[in-house]
Amino acid sequence: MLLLKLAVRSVAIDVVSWLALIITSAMLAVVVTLDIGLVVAGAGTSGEAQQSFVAFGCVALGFCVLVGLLSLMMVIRVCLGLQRRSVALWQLAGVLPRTVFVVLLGEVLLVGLLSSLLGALVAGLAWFPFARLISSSGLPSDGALARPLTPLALWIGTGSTGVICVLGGLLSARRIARGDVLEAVHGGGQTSRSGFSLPRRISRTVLSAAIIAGTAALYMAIGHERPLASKRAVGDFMTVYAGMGMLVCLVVACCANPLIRGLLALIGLGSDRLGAPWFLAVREASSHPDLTRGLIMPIGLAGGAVGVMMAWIGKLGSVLSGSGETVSAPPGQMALLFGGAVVVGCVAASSVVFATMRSRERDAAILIAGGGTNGLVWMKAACETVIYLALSLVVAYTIVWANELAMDHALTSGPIPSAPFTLPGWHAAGIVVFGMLVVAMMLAVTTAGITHRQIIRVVLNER
Amino acid sequence: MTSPLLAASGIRKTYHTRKDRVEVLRGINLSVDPGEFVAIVGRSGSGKSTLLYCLCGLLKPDSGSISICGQHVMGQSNAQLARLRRDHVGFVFQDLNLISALNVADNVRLPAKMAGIHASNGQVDAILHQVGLDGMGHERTDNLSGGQRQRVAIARALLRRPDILFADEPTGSLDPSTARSVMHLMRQTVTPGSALIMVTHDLEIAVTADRVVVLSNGISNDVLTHPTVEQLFELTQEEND
Repeated sequence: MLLLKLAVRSVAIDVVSWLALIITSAMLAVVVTLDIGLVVAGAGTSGEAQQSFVAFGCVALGFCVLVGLLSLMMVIRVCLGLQRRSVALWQLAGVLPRTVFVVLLGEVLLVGLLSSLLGALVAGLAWFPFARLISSSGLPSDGALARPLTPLALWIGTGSTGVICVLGGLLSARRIARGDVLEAVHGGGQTSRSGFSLPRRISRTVLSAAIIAGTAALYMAIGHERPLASKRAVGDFMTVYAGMGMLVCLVVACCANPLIRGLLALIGLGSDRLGAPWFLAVREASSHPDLTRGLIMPIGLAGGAVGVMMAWIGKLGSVLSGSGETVSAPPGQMALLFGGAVVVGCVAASSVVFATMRSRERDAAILIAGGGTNGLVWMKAACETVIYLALSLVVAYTIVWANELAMDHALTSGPIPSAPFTLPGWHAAGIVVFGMLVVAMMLAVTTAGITHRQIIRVVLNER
Repeated sequence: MTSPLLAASGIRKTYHTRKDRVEVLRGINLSVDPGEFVAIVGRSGSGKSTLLYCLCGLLKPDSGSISICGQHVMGQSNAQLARLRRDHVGFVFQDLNLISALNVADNVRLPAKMAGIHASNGQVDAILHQVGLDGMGHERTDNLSGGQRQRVAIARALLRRPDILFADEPTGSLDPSTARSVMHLMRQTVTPGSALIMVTHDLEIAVTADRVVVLSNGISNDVLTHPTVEQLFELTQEEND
């Protein structure tokens, strides 16, 4: 009972720090519930409508869960990282790490479930506009869409978002509970700087290596397939392109740490000699790699996933050309498939900005007190956006290009020797730019909130 | 006769709360000449920090006039004030000092960077040596002790050799020994062309100043030259009574 009280009070006191998780999990619940609603509606019909609704619902759900789980894990890590100092103070008062772990997980579950319920409520209201989108997308129309969202879909949507939250929270809660107490107390504790412990580092490296090796083995297995004779068989086989793309998303997510650190080191080269806004923006991005990763990975992954799917459609079209069959990607159906994942990715990224609002306010106060102008703070925010945009683009196109190059090699040396190399399009860039516009908006809102009066309040309060 | 680095007269500042209005400063006059170290003392809530923030152009008083290095503060825009602070003023606060995203060296070179001046590694290393932080340029500020953080803040203030250094309780969170060494450093910042204005609760530190301003209910009744601890203690006791 005491633990529950501690969890509830801790969330209530510092609700601003949990805002990122509240917004993200609510949005994830909306999208997941709508997709489950589509699958449930499909199951209640028959024929072509059933096939289409179930297939579209499942694929869209798969995307959402992949992007949602990875995004939510990063957002939870950021949110729990912000609790690090309070947690260390509990531990100094005698609370055991195991209890801390339970309380943190309880907090994540509490926030996750409440915001999932909110999300399910919104999903109930959004169902009819969503059904109209399905009807206008070219999919078979059916009376099942005219009925309200079923309670089953609402419960599964809420429950699955809660489960995703718990899965995401497990590792982060464990990490915070086992962190260095003194470092957290003295460091002010926004995010951990010490990184993972050695055993955790080893197990993480082994797991990442296993996923990379497994993915490479699958590409090699595809390359050893015998050439396919019929166009229909080729068309069916090409679905592996999308599946492998999703695996590459997972690989890139596993390698996010070294990838982002390396890219930040590259961007940071020579920043000492550039202007103060760029210098500060580079340092901001590189000194909090957890936050940077939490911000760019959701958008990068969403962009990469969309890029892979569009490359798949393009490649399928090239492979089947001449067979009389056409492959098209109606915008309505594409929005249905990827819209949810993109929205979840963008919301997750932009909500990280909210989570860091206080430290941004504090840093701006120091800058302005020390002779910086509001223009400098705005320019810094703009430079940060440029850095995040560049990083997200690299992440998205690493996924798209890696999959295209590997698949091209595998297909031409195995099942489809005539498969042409397809240059990845601008779809991934479009998604990333859209996501970054949302992030830029959030940064602008946060920066606009840093008024001179606010700075004085920060300076006086900190004394 | 040299012109003062800072001249303030008739400074008034009132805070409005939902139910009340609190007159924090009620017509303060103060002039600080080059080479001077002025301490501001008074009990909590006497308006010390408000006065300091008004003097450095961070907070706008309701009335009165302030000039820093001959430039009038009143009527200037926030951007103009920011430039004035950047070019003439340095700060050392009790806690709000360092940007956590920057390492020690970057924090030190930040004011120069904001002024569009390139501070070389050699200059930064020299200033870090001066404050006793040799070889710590690449350290994260979160890994430093309270005393070390204050030294970084002082190093940052010293790099551009400001005309006036404002300090708000710079030793407030330090142990006596570290506080002494930080004060020694602060005292060294006062050159014949510059001044130090410090708010402090510590009377032992205040008596090392050339002049001490004792604030009471927003009025500076007493300005003492080289007072003793006993004198200051009596004055602040009277306040409390």
